[in-house]
Amino acid sequence: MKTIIALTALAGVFTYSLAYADMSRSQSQMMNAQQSSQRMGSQMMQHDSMREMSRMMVQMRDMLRDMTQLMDQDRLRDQTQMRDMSRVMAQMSEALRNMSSNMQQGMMSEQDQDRLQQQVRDMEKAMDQLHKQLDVDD
Amino acid sequence: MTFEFHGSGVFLAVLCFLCIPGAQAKPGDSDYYMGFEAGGLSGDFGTLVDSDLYSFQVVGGLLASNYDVSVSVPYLIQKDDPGYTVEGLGDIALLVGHTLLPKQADGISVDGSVMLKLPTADESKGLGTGEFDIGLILDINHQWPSFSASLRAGFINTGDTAVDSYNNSFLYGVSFFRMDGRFGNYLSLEGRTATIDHVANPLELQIGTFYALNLNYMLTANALIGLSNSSPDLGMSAGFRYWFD
Repeated sequence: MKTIIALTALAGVFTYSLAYADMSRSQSQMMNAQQSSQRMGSQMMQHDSMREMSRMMVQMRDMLRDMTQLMDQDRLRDQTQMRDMSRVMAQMSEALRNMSSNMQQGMMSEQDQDRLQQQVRDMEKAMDQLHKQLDVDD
Repeated sequence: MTFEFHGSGVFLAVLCFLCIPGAQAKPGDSDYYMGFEAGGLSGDFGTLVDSDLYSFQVVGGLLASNYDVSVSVPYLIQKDDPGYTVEGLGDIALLVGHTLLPKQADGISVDGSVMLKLPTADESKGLGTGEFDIGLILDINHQWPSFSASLRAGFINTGDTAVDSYNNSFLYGVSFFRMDGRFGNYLSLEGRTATIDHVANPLELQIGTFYALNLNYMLTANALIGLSNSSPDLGMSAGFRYWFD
């Protein structure tokens, strides 16, 4: 008899605990659903903020694009300037060569002729270096 | 009945919004993006149960000069104080925005948005209410060369379930954005009326930033601090955004 009573009580406790677990689980689900309804406002605000952030990102992309274009333009301008300079130096070098040739036929000391020729060679060397630099940049 | 009202009303509203003259895409006028965000929120949201909510969401959208569309598809893992953990697809959110007043000479512009929450989350797990929600929001923006501010106000029609009736929610907020080198930073204060009775109205402060790695890839980070009992205590998220050429 005692065993039957004990088993019945145990079964009762077990059933109660199952029912309690179910109740607390369903209560938890209800709370979750309530939290979910509360989150909608937050989600909407975040979406709206995300939209604003996306607009800023688009502005940032435009700025980065402009910067890249400006850098390309700067590089192009530098290369053009170097080419112009190289052209001027080539003309100067040619002029010096002509002058040296003319001087050789006139009254000019050997020392002056050597110095003049050295200047022409230095200028040619500088011009070669400039050309090499231009090739590297290209 | 509630479902029908929400369903038809929502689709009609979105359709009308898209049909506003000038909302159609112009070739080469749009920027498209996709991204991923991971984050967490903790708090009781004004209920009797504390919970930690982890979300992993795919976001995507397009921005044109006078309208924008964005969508977020979250996967949620929610851990409650008694020890229950539920996880699954969350509610998908869709936002369609339209410029109501283009930027004026003084830098002021006005945007309107319709946001729709699709009941894709499993309501039996409590990950969602199982009902459509629809929201309207109005933004008044003022833009300076590297700084902008927005004032916003909105309304959410929260879908009632067979068991629970939720309050509709009014939204308000103010936000500030600033560009600093390759960083874009923002700060916002957002509040709304509670959807459940006898709890304080949620009020939250958000601080966020993004960093442009290059024209295509950007990193994002966001922190949320709850300023009222029914807000999450704390939230953080981080992610990346890819912009299509």
